[in-house]
Amino acid sequence: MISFKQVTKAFDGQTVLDSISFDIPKGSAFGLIGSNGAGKSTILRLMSGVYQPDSGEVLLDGKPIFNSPDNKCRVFFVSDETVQYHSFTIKSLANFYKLYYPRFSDALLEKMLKAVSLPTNKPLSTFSKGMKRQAITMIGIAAQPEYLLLDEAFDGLDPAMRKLVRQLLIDRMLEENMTIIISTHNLTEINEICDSAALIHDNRIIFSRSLDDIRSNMHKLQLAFPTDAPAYTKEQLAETGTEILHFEKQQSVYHLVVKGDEEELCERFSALHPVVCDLIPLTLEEIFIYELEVLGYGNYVFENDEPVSQ
Amino acid sequence: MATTSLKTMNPFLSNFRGIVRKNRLLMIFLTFLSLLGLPVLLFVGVELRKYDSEMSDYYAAPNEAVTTPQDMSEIFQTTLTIVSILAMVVIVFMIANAAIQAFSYLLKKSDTDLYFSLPMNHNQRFFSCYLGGLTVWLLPTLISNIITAAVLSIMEAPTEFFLCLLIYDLVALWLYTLTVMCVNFCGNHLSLAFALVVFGVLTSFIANDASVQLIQMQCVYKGAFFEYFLSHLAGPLGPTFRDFGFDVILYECNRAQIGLYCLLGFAACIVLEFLAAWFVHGKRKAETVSKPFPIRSAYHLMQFFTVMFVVILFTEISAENAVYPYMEWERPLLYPLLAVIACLLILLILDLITTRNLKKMPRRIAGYVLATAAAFIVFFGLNYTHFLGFGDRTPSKLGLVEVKAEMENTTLYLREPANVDSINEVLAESRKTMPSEAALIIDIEYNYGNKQKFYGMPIPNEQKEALEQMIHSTSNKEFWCTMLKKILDANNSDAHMLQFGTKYSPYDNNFGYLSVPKLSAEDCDRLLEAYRKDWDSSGWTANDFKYYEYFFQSRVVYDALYGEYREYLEETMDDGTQLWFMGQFPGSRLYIPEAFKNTIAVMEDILPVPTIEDVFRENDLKLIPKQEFAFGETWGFYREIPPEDYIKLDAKAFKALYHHIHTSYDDMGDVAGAIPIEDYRWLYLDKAGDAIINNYFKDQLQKIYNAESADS
Repeated sequence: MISFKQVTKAFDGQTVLDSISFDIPKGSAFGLIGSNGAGKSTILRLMSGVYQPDSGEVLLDGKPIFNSPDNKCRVFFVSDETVQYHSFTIKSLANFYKLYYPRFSDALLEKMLKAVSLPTNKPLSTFSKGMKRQAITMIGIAAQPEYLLLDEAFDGLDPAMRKLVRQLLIDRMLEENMTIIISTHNLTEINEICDSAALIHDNRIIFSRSLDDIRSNMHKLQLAFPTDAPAYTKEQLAETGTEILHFEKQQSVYHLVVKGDEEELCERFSALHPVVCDLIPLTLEEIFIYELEVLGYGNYVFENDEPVSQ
Repeated sequence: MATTSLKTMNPFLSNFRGIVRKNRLLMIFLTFLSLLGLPVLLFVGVELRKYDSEMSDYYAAPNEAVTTPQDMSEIFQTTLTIVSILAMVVIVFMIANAAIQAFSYLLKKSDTDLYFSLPMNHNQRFFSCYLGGLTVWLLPTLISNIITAAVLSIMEAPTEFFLCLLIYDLVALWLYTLTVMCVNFCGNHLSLAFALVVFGVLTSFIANDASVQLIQMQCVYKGAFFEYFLSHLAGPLGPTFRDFGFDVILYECNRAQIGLYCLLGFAACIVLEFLAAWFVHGKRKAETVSKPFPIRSAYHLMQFFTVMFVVILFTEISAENAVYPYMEWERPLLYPLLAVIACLLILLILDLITTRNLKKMPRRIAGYVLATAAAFIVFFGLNYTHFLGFGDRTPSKLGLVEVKAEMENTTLYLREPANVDSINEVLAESRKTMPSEAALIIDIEYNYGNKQKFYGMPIPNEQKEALEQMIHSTSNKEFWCTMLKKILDANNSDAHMLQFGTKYSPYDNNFGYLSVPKLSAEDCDRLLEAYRKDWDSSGWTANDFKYYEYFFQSRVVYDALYGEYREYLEETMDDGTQLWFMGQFPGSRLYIPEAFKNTIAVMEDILPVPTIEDVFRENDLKLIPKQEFAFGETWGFYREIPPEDYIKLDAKAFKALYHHIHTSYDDMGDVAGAIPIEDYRWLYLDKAGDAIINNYFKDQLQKIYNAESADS
C-alpha cells in the first residue's frame, strides 16, 4: 500500500501540495484526477521517489520510498514527458530498464509488441506521440513492477490503442496483482479502469475513495412541482439537510446536483410533494465538473472578453 | 505467462554498466585518440633523444659519408607532434565530456524522471556514475599507458618519460573530478563552463599566487611544503602557468620530498574535489535540474573566487611588485574600484544570461556585494596579518646546520650561532619596517641538513650593519676561501674549465665569460692568498657585494646533466658537505667585489687573455657585429646552421676561440650558450641540444687539452 501522510511539497516557495493524506491499496487501480497544475504529476513523482517531500511521508508498505532502492524497485514511473527516451530504441530502452528491474520480462514485451507492431530498432524520436506512449507503457508493463505509475498514459493514443493498452493493464492487474496509478484528464479511462480515485484541487485532496462510493454519493435530481405550488430557492431546498452542488430552476422544474444516499434523498424530497422526483446517476466527468464548480474552478463566463465568475 | 528473471539486481553495478554502455562510442573514440595522443607524443620525444644522439655520432665522424638524420626526422617528427598534440587537446574535452555524460541527468530537465526514478539511492547513483564516467576515459587511457610503457621500454626511454604517464593520468583524473564537481554544483551548461573556469583556473591561480606570495614573504616555514603542496592544492594549472608545475613533478620526482609534495598536493586536490562533488550530489534535488547554480553556497563561493582573482590581477597590474605581503596600490582607490566594477560586470552579465530573469537581480547583487566584501576582507586580512602570522615565525636554532643569505651577487654562509641570532633579529626588525624602498633584497635560507629549508625575508637597507657583521664572520670568510680553492682545484681536471667574467653583462659586450687555461700551482696560491687578504680587510661594506668587478666560475665541460659530474665530484672532492652545492650548480660562481683590490690585481696579472678582436684578426675570422646576436629570439636556432659550419671551424680556430666560449647553465644543469663563428654567425649551444653540442665540444676541447698538455 502506498500512503501519503501529511505530505507537503513546494517549488520556489510556491506550495503545490499542502499537507495531503491518502492511501492507495495494493492491487487496486487508482485514478488521480484534478485540474491543470493541481499537483497530480508531483504526486506521481513523490510516489516514484523522484521528489522528496518537504514535510510528511510517502510510504510504501510503511517504509519511505525516497532514496530507497528496494522500494523504488517495486515502482515503475512512466512520465508524461517522452523527450528523455528519444535517443533510445525500444530494444535499447528495454535493455536499459532490464539493468534496474529484476523482473523485467523480454517475453512479455515481445508478446505486447507483436500486438502493436512497433519497430524495435528505430529511435523513439522517430515515433509519433501515441507510438512513444505505447512503447514506454509496454516497457513499464514488461518491467513487472508492483506499482505502475502512468502519467497521462493514454494521451495521444487512438481509440483502438486505448482499448488495447487498457486491456493489457487490466490483464496485469488480474494476473500479477499489479497496482496501477493513473493520472489523467480523461475521465473515461478512470471510469473504465480504476476502482478508486482521488480528486486534487488547489493543493488539496478533495476526495479519495472508490468510484462506486463517488458515484453513489452524488446524483442529479429532477423535481417538478404543480404550477400553483410555491417557488423554492436553493437555500430553502438546502434546509432539507441536503448538500446542493448545483441549482437550476426553469419555471416549476428544478434540476439539482446533490450529495447523499439515494433512498434518503428520495425520502427527503418526497416530503415537498413534487409531481416528479427523479434521481439520475452522474457520469464521473459530471461529478468532476460539479465538484470543482463548488470550489469555484472553471465556473466562469466571458463578458466583454473578460472572465467573470458565475 | 511470460518468463521472468528473478535475479537480484545490484543498483550500483546496473547503473555503472548503464553508463559505460551508454557512452561506449565515446570510449571507442577516446581509445583512438589516446593511442594517437600520448604514446605518439612520447615516441616523438624519445625519437628526438635518439636523433640528438645520432647527430652527435655524425659530428664525431665528420669525414665519413653518413646520412644526416635531420632530414628524415623533421617532417616525421613535426607531423606526429602536431597530430598528437591535437589529439591531446580533443582528449581534454572528451574527458570533461565523459563527466558531463555520466551526470547528464543533473543538467537535462527531460532526464529527471528517467534517472531519478531508477531504483538507486544517492550514494549508489553518485559512485556508479563517477566510476562509470571514469571507466569511459580511464580504460582507453590505461590501454594507451600500457602500450606506451611497452614502447618506451623497448626504446629504453629515460625514466622521466614513464613519469609523464603518471602525470598525464593524474591531470586527466583531476580534470574529470573537477568536471564532476562542477556538474554537481551547476544546473546548466553555461553555469558549468563558468564553474570550470572558476574552480579549474581561477582558484588554481589564486592558490598558486598565495603560495608564491608566502614564499616571497620569506616567512619561515617549510618552503618545499608550501611551494609544492599548497600550490598544487587547487589543481595543476596555476603552477603550470608559473612554470614550476609539471616540470617540477617531471624532473624533481627523484628528489623525494619536492616530487612527493607535488604529487600529494595534486592527489589532495583530486580528493577534495571528489568529496565536494559527493557531498553536493547528496544535496541535489530533482526539481533543481537545469536551473542555474542550484547550490547557492557554491555560487557564492564562485563569486568570491572571481572577485579574489580579479583583485589579485588588478593588484599585480597596479604595481609591479604589488603582491600579497607588500602590496602597494599605485592608486589606492582607482584599481580596487576598477576590480570591483569588472567583477560586477562579469557576474551580472553571467547571471543575466543564465537566469534570464531580472526579478531576482537585487538578491544577486546583494550576493555579489557580500562576496566582494568577503574577498577584500580575506585579501587584506591575509596581507596585513602576514598570512595569519605564518610569515612571522622565527626559525628554530635546533638542528640548524647553516644559514645561507643570498644577496644580489654573492652568497653568505653563516654557521656561527651568534650569526643565527643576528639574522633572526634582522628578520624580526625587517618585518616591522617593511615595506622599504631602499631594501637590500636578500633571500635567506635555513638549512637543517635533512633537506628541510626555511626561508627568511628581504632585508631592508636599515639592517645592513647587522648584515656586515655576518659578512665579516669567520665562517663566511672560510667558506668562500675554501670555495675558491675548490674551483681552482676543479680546474685541474679535464671535466672542468675555469672561466672568469667581468661586471659587464656578457651579452652587452658579446663575449662575456672567458675561459682561462689551467693556472699553475703558484698562480693559484697567489690568488688564494690575495683573496683571503681581501676578506680580512675592513675596507668594504655589505653594499660592495652588490657590485662586482669579476667573477670566477667552474664550468663542467661536458655531460652537463650532472650524473657523471656528481661521480667526478665524489671522487675528487674531499669535503662532502659542499657536494650539494656543486652538484646543484655545476657552474658555481664566486664574485670578486670591486673592493677586493688585491684579488683583482692578481687576476689581471695572471689572466692576460687576448681580446676577441685580436683572436679574430689573428685567425682571419670575421668579427660578429654586436646587433647580430639577439638573446632569446634566436635561441635554439642552431639546427638551421648547416652541419658544414661546424666542421669548417678547424682546430686552430677553435683553440683560439676556446677562451671565448660563451655559455651559461641553468639550474637543471643543461648547457646553453654560443660561440662566435665566421660569416657573422653564432654557433649556438642549445639547452635541448646539449647532447650534440657538448659531445662536439668535448671532442674539440679534448684535442686542445691534449695539445696543451703535450706542449707543456
